[in-house]
Amino acid sequence: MALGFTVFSLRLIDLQVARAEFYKVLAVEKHSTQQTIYARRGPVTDINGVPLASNEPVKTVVIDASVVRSPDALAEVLARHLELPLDQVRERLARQKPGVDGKMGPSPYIVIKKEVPEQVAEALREEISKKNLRGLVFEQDSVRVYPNGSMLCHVVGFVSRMGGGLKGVEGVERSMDDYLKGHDGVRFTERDRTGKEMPAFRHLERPPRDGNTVKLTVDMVLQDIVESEMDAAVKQFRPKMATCILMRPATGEILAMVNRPHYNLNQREGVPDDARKNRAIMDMIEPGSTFKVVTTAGALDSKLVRPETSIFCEHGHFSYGGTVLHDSHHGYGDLTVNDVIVKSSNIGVAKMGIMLGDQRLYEYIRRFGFGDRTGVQLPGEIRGIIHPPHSWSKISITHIPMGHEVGATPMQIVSAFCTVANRGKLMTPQIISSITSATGETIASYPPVEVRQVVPPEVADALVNALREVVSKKGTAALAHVPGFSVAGKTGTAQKTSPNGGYEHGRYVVSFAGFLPAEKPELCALVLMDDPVPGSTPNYGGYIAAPVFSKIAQRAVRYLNLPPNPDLIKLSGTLAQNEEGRRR
Amino acid sequence: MTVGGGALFYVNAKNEVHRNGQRKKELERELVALETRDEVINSRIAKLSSFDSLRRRQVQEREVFAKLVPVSDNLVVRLQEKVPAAGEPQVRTVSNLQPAR
Repeated sequence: MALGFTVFSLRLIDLQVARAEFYKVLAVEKHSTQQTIYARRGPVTDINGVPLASNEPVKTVVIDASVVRSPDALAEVLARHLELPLDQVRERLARQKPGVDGKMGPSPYIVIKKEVPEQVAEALREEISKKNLRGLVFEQDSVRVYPNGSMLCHVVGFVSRMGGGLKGVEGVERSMDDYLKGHDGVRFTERDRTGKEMPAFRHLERPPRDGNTVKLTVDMVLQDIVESEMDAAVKQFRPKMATCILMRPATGEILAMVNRPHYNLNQREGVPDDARKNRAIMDMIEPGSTFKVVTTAGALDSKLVRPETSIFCEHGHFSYGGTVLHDSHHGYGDLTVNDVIVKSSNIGVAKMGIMLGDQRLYEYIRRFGFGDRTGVQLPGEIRGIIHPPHSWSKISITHIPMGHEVGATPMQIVSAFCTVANRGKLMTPQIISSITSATGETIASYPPVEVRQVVPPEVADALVNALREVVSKKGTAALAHVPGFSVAGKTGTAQKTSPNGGYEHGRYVVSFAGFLPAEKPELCALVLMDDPVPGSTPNYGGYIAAPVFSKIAQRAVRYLNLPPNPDLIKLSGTLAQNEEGRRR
Repeated sequence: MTVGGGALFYVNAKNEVHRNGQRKKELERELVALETRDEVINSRIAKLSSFDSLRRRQVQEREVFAKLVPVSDNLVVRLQEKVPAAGEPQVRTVSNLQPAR
């Protein structure tokens, strides 16, 4: 007995002392696990907190076939709730997997369906519990949802599953991915022999850090106004593409951005690449007459002309460099610099370009931001094309001033007009307002960024005076008028370039860029349509794009409660008649 | 007896730790379930109150919603805010200079 006791004691010492470390490691390997605690991706909201991208919890339905006792009953319940074919579910439950001993047996982990809505999972859990069926396990997951569907789709963008997590692929989801994605937490814990966690034996735990909230400068009410007016215009004129950007000139904040064609962020399968393009920053067009503002600004700033300087416009027929330049409607004789803008004379602005010369014109074009990315916080922005003077032809000096032979994005065009509206200051367009953590702390805020003073305030003021007259019976954009407000702007009607070289007859890119109130601009917008089908409407920016601007601006000023100019308000006869009728 | 009592106390304490661990796990599950429910409800609210959803409802339920006609400017009468002259008291909203009696 003493010998037996001694043997047992020696064995005990061997196990507990001599080989303690070995068995400790073995125990840790067997029972310790590392759990990942998944972080939530941060939401994207508009300036007022309206959710644009958020997370919806869903479940992954998993079956542990090794503990299933009634596979047929379980398969029937699963198929009914998850809307799957019964045969498919039965086939999955019957899957075999080699065990620890190498023998094939029921698989302990079979994914039946992913992204199951919570209410479906709850109903499934209840029925399984009622029927006392074993083997069902739910894993928590989430999907990214975009409550506003196709609205602001090109700005918000979307995510994709990559490497076990969600990664932004386009739009703000991509450019702000580092802020939006959270940091997963980790927990080291122990499990008992049945695999259940023993919370009492948790070791190290690092909690997850949920993603930050990204707030945009966009106001969804203004976005809705722009979207509805652009939809109406696209329905009427069926352009190949259309873009509208609405900005606050003093700060560079983008209040709305609309592109057509577009797509629903929640239904992305089969969407053509064409519809996914954010044309406001990725498309390049010849701006046409809206570009005349740049040339005129340069000529005024260089003191080559004043607003009242007279320029002879050759009665609509100007020979230069072996080609003939025409004015679009009828010929003009002498026009003041002011009237060159109001009448949109190609010859007038070409002569200002000649006065400036290649190098100076090029410098003003670059100062206005053309040929450079604007720096807006969206992925995929292009620079556009501004050829350096050494590669210009003999006639480029007459074509570039009127917006041909240059490639500009809609974002660059509206930025240039914001510069004029902002008394000559070029601001960086902003789409992100601020970033806050899940606990409400401000991580980053984006104040307005001034890039440079492009032209002095006096030059900008002179341009604004000219642009105000454009939006009058004298000018080309009378239809951009907004009752009660002074509007300043410029139309553009640029012939479309042909893929074979030259220009296509009868096909245009029409646009209107403008701002209001002219004396203290609060809103600046560009409406642009590529190759509209005008029908009976004249195919000019003043007839197609300008009215869209007017409708957007009328609704926007009402929403923003901008006070109208009392001198510009006229009570119509209709109102006076109504009052008379009421009194009777 | 002391050793035995100590051993019993030790076993009881270990059981207590285990029970607390299980309770902690239950509470964690409840918290996760509540957070999940909260997220689901927030997601539904966001969908139902989204501009997209409201616009679709406006189109589908034309008879229910009053037709929203854009207001033209000639039908709007604006009140001018009165600017008090120098020496005049400021125009105020509801405010009594003297306490009520």
